[in-house]
Amino acid sequence: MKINKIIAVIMIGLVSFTSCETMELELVDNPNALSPSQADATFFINSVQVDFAFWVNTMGNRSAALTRINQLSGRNYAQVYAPATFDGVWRNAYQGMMEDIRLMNILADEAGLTTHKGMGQVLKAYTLVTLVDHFGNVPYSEALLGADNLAPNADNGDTIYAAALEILDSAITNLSAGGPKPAVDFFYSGDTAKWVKAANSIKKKIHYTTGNTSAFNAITDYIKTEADDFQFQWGSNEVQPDTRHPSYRSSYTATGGNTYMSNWLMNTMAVGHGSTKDPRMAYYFYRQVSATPGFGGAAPNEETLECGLQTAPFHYLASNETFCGLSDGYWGRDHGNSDGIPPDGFLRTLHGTYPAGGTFDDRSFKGQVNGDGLGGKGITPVMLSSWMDFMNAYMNPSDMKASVLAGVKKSIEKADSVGGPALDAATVTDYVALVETDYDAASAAEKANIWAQQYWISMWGNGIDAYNTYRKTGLPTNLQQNIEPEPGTFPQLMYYPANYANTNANVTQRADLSERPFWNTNGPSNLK
Amino acid sequence: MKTKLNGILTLALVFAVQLLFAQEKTISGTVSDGDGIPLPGATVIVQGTTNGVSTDFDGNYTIFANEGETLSFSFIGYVAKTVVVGASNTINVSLDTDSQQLDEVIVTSLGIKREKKALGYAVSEVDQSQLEQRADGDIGRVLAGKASGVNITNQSGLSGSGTSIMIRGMNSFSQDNQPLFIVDGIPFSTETNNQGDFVDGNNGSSRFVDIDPNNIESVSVLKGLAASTLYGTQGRNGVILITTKAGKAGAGGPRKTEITVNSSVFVNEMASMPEYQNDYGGGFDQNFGWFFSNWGPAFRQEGVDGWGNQSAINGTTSGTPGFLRHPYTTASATTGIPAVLDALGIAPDALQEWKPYKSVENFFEKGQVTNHNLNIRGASSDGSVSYNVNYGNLTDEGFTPGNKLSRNTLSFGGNAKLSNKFSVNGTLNYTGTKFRSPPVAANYGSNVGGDGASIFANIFYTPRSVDLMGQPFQNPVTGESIYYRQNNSIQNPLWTVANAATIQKVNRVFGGASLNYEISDNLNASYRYGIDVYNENNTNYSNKGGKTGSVSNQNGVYDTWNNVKTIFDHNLAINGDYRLNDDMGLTFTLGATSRSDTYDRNGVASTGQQVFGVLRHFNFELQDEIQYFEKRNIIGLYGQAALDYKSMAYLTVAARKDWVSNLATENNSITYPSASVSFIPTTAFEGLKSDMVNYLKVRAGYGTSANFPNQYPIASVLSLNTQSFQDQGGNMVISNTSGSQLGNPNLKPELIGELEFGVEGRFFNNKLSTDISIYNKTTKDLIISRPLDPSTGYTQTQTNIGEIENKGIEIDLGMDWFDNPNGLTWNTFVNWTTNEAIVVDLGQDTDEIVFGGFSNRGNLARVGENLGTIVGSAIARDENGNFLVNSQGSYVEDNGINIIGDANPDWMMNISNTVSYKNFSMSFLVNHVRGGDIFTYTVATLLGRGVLKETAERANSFILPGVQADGTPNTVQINNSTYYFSNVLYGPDEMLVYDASVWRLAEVSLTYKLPKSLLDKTPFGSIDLTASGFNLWYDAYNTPDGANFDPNIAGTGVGNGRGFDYLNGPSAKRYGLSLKLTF
Repeated sequence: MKINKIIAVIMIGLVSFTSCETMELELVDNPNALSPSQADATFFINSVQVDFAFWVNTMGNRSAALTRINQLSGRNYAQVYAPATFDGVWRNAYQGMMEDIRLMNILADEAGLTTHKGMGQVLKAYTLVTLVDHFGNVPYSEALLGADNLAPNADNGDTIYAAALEILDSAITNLSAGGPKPAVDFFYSGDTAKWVKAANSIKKKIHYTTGNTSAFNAITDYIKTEADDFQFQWGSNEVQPDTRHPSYRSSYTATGGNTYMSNWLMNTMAVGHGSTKDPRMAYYFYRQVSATPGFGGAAPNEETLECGLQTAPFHYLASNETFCGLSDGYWGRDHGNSDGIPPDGFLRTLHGTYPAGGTFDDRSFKGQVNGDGLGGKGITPVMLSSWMDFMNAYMNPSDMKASVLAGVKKSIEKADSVGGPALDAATVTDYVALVETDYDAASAAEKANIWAQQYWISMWGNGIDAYNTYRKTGLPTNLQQNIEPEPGTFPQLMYYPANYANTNANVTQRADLSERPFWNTNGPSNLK
Repeated sequence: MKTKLNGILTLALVFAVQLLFAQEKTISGTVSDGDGIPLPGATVIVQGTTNGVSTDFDGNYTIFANEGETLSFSFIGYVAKTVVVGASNTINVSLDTDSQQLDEVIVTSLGIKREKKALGYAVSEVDQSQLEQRADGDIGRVLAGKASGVNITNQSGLSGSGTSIMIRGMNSFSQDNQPLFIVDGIPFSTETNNQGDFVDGNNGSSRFVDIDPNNIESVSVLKGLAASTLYGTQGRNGVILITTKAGKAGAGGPRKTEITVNSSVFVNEMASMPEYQNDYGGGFDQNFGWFFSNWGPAFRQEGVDGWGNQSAINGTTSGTPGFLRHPYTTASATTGIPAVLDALGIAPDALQEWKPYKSVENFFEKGQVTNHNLNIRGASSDGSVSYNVNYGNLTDEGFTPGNKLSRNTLSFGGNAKLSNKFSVNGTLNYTGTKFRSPPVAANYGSNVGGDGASIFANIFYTPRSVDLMGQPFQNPVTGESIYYRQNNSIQNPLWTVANAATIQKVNRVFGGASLNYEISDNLNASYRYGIDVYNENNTNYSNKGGKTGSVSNQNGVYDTWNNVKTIFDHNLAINGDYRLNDDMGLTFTLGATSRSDTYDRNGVASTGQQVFGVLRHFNFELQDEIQYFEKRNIIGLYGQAALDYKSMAYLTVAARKDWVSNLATENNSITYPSASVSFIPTTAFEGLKSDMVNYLKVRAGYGTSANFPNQYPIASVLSLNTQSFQDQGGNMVISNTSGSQLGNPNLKPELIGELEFGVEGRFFNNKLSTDISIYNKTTKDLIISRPLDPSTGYTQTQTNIGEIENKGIEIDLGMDWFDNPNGLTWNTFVNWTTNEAIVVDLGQDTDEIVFGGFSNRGNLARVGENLGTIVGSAIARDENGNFLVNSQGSYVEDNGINIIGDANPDWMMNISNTVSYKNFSMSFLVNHVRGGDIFTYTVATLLGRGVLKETAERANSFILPGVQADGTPNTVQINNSTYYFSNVLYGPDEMLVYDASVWRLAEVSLTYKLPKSLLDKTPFGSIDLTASGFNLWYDAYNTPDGANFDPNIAGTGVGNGRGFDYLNGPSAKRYGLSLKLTF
């Protein structure tokens, strides 16, 4: 009996010791994150701003690669950007930015945070328009409904463009309402008047893209000076968090550069005007070496730049364009070149100070690693005053020359804004004068090319509008061809992102890349 | 009162008469087996009475009986014998083994022992002889090939790497498909806690590595749901029931103290070393260069591709023909290498000979595996108290430098029958396991793919002309990695070994106690309490100066965290056993159980190492938190009833209801029944039984189970990041962002149903045995971690849509060719398995889901397709199905979700043979996996980088079959490197897929048992000496010969992804000697 008692005591002990813990049946809240009810509007706008910067930078880089501002690695246009390569931007656009903006607006409406709301609207409008520009029809009215609609239908691009204009109008109202300002404003440090200019500038960009001259000209309160430029400011912190300009991250590494500069852009700027190199070059590019093997009298080197020993392919020879490399250490790659990577990390040309926050090309010719130069403290331009001039040049042919020259001037003046020695006024004026001389001497077609080339150069850092402009105008006509003679159709639109086409039952992936955005049904077809 | 007294008197009279007429006497003797070995614990009963005894541990018994009465002698596994008591007072009996083993008793769910013939479902048993003295300390891998229906895949050949076990296919593609482990009746946690994902590095052991296979008495594999219903949701993927030697303590009554020592030494060697070519060195397009690739000039001077044409080698640059400048002397100044040449002991004009250096071959080592196990078992002389103590020690050095698994296990088990109808037994196990490996992560043919480093990412394609082992790997001033490439952009594998590692140190205690109370002869109650607690101490570090992965990784990272996993398990049951009448019996079990799982991770991640080599958090600039918590409770009620009729028909019905804590109350419980029948025609129909047909059984079972999700699937969350960015002043910017998972409060458990039929038989005087099962298993209300179009606002949700159907056949055959205990015995066992997992439905909104890898390269769930389907980019085809070739002569790639393979094998077969003659016995296990594809970067990289022997023939050009854009047949010639580099390695994913069929000599062993006569005068009971080898030979005959590729690899880790290899690990072979002693 004694044993029975002991056993009974042990059993009761064991059961009562642990059973309460093991019997609890409502453990449904996730302790590893906040619950949605704990959200904070300011934390949302912080998240959206940073997401937007990365997003614009990625979209801007891909557009720039297609339009030769950046180097494109890919001999077949249909293969360069596979559907899955857009999964990240698609996710960040909707689940990242726009859902956060939606949730923030609920809180902002309750608390009267009109500035938060207005900022979110500006960023959202730009995002929507850019989505339409790249993917055509995308979800808008049925988007962000969560469980209520798991397969949103796409809206027509023009509907979304119209909605974006309405959102921007509402943004302007909200930004002018004098609500409390968020603690962190990466773009304008809380200057809502500048936000209004940005909203108006995006409206003008929309009208430029759709070709609505009267609406374009009707907007007058837009970004006109460098001080009003709509841009994101990056930092120089390497880790936790990494705040460096994304292009800096890939250009300045422990093992040298990981991306190639575009030979077309470097050549266009090196040729310059009036036999003078574009003064922006020292800000845009950093040369790690003073000579390029096989060019400008330097001995070729099959190990580091094999194509320096080769002759250009026939289609390059026929159009007499630059091939393989440029002299004086401007060491980039041709459009479409996807060859293997030789050990040239400390030889190839890197991003300079503008806009990536790298090193100013002071002809020191040193290998660069992370931390060098400005450490990545660059900018990502979203809308610049110079761009407004170039758009104006196109929309108002009568103003074309003045606008082009104003755009060139502002763009050159912009080059030293991130870092590097200050450009003296004379250099700027002299170069603008050289452009003017060439412009005056040019035929109408060449004038248009000068406009487009200068616009392209000013878009170093964000080629979204270059991609639109190229599809609209087919300019400039002297872009370097793909090194592959048959690269396939130039993408009028991108493939739908894989996480959109594969998960949404109402979407069918487009068969090829010839479908056009709604605003470009009559655009040129000879894109290369 | 009066009548009662009369009765007693009458009874007394009867006894008196008995005493007068019957000659009761004391009978004693010995019960032994056919070989004369005493059988302790055999039962001796005087028939027709309740008078019975058990033999002691020398097989002796003493019993009172009368002349003329009959004594019955019985022992499990032997044919019972009766002897009529005669004049003699000594009766010695020798029992014959029951070759038919009709009464074979096996362990089923919840430890309930039942006769095998009564079971209406398939159970595979593996005994200790198939488990002990193995060179691999991982029970998962040791089980490979030993049970039909069980598919076991190694994550890699690293010692201590994870192991995936799947029984009867995948029930779900979003939830866990690994089986439940029950060790001595107690749930045992077996998860693989990877230190990241397969892209950034996923080293980590599967926690069943904490069991010493040498300490296992037997394993039962419950494959079907009819077998595992009582385990509820936990048993849905099958159950591996392990009885340890400690847990076995007490069974079998009194026994002598027996000490067993097992000691083994093995060599661990890389099995999958590729055959490299030695004709060409590093470079591209026949030109020399310090490239990743090996498409450079030949190691001979002559010819267009000879080094004579290369200014770097022919003496123009170096001054000595056939030599080139040492790569460290030509490195970019920015790498810092030229500045430290002096300290490296390399002269500025140092040269290196242009020749093959066999760097890969010399990089890998031969590891040593030692495995010791000591077991002591015994019992009190009356058999009421017994115990078992087991100690095991394993040290397993991998063939990869820096890889080692070591383990100490200590187990106690005891059992006591108390005087008052109580019995208690308990086990307690301690395991200390330490796993260490250089980091391993996915590689796509060029450096590591993700944020970390990988030892295998940079070794296999080392150009033949690179002298990895003959040159320094570390900058003597900064400590950073240095290597041959001029911008130093490859992390030297030797540096990785010396400066980076992932470590898991585990302290684990598991065991439990149970208490049984015999309420009556027919009824008993039991309560069992089980615990399983481990503390997995993880370290992941890389000193600063690495050259791959993220900036953090290059600046030095040091992450330390503890995973504390706890399982508390209570189980209360009442068991009954009644004879209803002469023909019918009923047994039943009713029970309640509660289980609580807690997983608690805490740690710190540091980056920015200050002083090189010091691995303490204070030496790092920044710290970040590592924290995660998960808890889930399951409560279950269960019942089972079994009816038997005349030992020829059996019916078992069972049901269980589970409540699980992480779903909404209205969806958090489910009831699932099962039923099974077994029928023995050879017993039922007289005359059916013959020498040809000795035994026949047909069975059928239907079982159901439920699959509850893990984690917190119904909660929507908000992510907060306190370090999302910095403002211009360097102040941290805090952000919150909506969670990517759409919480689904309507989420229900998955319901799995399985119908199973089987036939078992023995034929030709029991020489041939067969066991055939077919099953059809359907998972409904599939929990799909469904990827959502992000335009919904979320990227995924867990929902109940869709259906998967698994169909399969399992065949087990056994043949005793010869069975002569003193001469030749030879038996063969074959098991054959096939399984198809077809997606039947994915709901209306989804037509396909890619899982197990990347969104554009992974496994596919698409209606009508097998779950192992591999998708990725394909060679583009024209409308007639011709391959499209571009103007350069290379394939055009079709991006998107193209089916490029199917990882699911057609079938798997294992053949084991044991031949023994006198004191020698030899056995081997061969397995063959037929069909199934693998996407392999190992093969593609070896080809694409031009190092494999298949790439040595370089004069030829290739014309890819296909058509040009205009429809004309392709005639463009491409050279070797364009074919292998641009099309095979960096072409469409389809080019990386191979048929993974493989023949394998999985195990071979030769044992010599010292003759008893030699041991008579020693304290030893037996001495066995065994030479054995594991994975000594294999041939994946549809992959390139020289790659020597082993498709037994899980490149996406232990999970649901199958058929991928991202250069994440070669395979191992082991061979050595074992000694087994008993005292």
